[in-house]
Amino acid sequence: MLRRIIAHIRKELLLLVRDRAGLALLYVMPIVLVSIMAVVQDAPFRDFADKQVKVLFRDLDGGVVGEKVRAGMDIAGSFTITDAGTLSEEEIKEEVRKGHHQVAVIVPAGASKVLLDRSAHAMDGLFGQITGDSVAPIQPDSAFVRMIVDPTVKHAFRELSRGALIRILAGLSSEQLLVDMHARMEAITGDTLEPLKLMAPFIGVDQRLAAGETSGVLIASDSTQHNVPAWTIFAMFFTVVMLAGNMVKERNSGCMARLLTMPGGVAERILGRAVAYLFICVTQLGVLLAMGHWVLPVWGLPRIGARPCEGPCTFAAGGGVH
Amino acid sequence: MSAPVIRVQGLVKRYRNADEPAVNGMDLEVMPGEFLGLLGPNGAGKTTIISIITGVRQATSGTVSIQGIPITRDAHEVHRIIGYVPQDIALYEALTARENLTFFGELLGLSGQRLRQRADELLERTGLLARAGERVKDWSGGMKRRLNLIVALLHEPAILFLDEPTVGIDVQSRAAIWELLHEINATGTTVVYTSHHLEEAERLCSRVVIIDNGRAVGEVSDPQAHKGHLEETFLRMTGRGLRD
Repeated sequence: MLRRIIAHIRKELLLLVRDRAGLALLYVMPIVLVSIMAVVQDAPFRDFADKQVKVLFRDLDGGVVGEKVRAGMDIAGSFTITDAGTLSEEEIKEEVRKGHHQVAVIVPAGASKVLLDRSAHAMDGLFGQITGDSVAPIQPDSAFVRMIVDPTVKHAFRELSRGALIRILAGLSSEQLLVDMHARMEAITGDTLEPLKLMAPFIGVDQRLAAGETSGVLIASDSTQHNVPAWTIFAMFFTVVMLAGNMVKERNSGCMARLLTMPGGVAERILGRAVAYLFICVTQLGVLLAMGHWVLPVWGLPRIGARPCEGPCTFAAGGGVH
Repeated sequence: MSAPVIRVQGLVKRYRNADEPAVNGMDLEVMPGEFLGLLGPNGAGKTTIISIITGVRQATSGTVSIQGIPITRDAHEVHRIIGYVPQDIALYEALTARENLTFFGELLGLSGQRLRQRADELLERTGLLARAGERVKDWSGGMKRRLNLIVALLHEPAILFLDEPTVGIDVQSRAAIWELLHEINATGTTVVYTSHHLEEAERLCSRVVIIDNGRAVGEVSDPQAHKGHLEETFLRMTGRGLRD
């Protein structure tokens, strides 16, 4: 029985090897697909993986607000900041529209004055209730830091930029309120008091990775990690085309009728085919992982698996190990 | 008197959606060493009968036994005894002649030196040895027919079934096939073959069974003794009406 199964396996492999169109379908097409798709998707994956938003920064204020917003965005680590120099708002918009920058941040002139005025007004209101002094009824002007966004930028990136700006401006306002409060309290008490400092939030955020943290490695997705496993599975479906084609040929040629009059049952024929096509699938996997490991990096794409033995592990996990 | 090597009783085959059964109560006995011809017009049921006897198709009813073994009970054992040459060129055209012979030979239980020797012997016998390394798709129809025949002879079957083995080939290839069939029958192999070539049947067969509408309608023993009269007998039994 084993000899007959081996005979079926050998026959199937010989038929596949002799079928050039079939070989192209099984091996060349997936290689081409992986190459094209990995190259095409590389840029978007890099954007997403790096999480760096390109920001064009214009400070019309020249005071503490411009300085602190710039410093706060630098510290956030999610932004690559370029100074807009003396560009006008229209020129800045054009730069963003052309895709040179994803976001532009313009700190308006007088923003620092608005910050100081509003803080002082708030303190007047608060301490006026204690000292009995009257408070100016007119509210000081408002100021808005302008954010200009490339319409093609993902919503997540917009919100990342907007959230960072809100956080910086809120911190700046709180800090100014504390400074003013400290000055007023010294004035009331006539003593020199310890400066009030902006504290860390009482309740913080503890972020953890769902996977990879315990092993000390970072799991990340890139175009190679995404495309090689995906197209490998897709390529395996093409074996069905070959299998069905050979079965139809076998039936039409009369070979099936001949096989039915020979020793060995349907189970042997199916097993022989299954083993042959399993071998094809394994070699497809090997070829495409080799592409991901050795060939795609030559074109500047990420490598699949840090070492060759990690390829299959990466495939099984559906993610990349760097 | 020895027992028949093939016994067919009350064989019926009804295809789905067909008005009439393809085989309709066929009875047949074939003695060891016979060269039996199953003759009939197109659509008479010859191929269906031979397909059921060899286990390719299942009968709707009736029994078939080969050397006393019912085909439905032990097809595996029956398939060791018989050789079958289908009407089509049942070969893998992308493979070479030798690869075809090796594959089918291994299924038939041959291997190694024995298989190589037997393949070479048959290839030599049919004039194909020199081109055994070529792919079958590049061969002529006559060469393919000869190879189609010798695949079934690899394991030296006790009973050989042939379904129109000389369709569409040149005179030389046909003569070679006739000669080979004569030879293997002379060594004791029972041969059952279907055809509608009456001249071929007259020349080869020791007995002819004429089939029409799925059953035996007549029989001619020793057709060579009635040379030239088989056609007349055939038309008398099957009629002159044209068939589909």
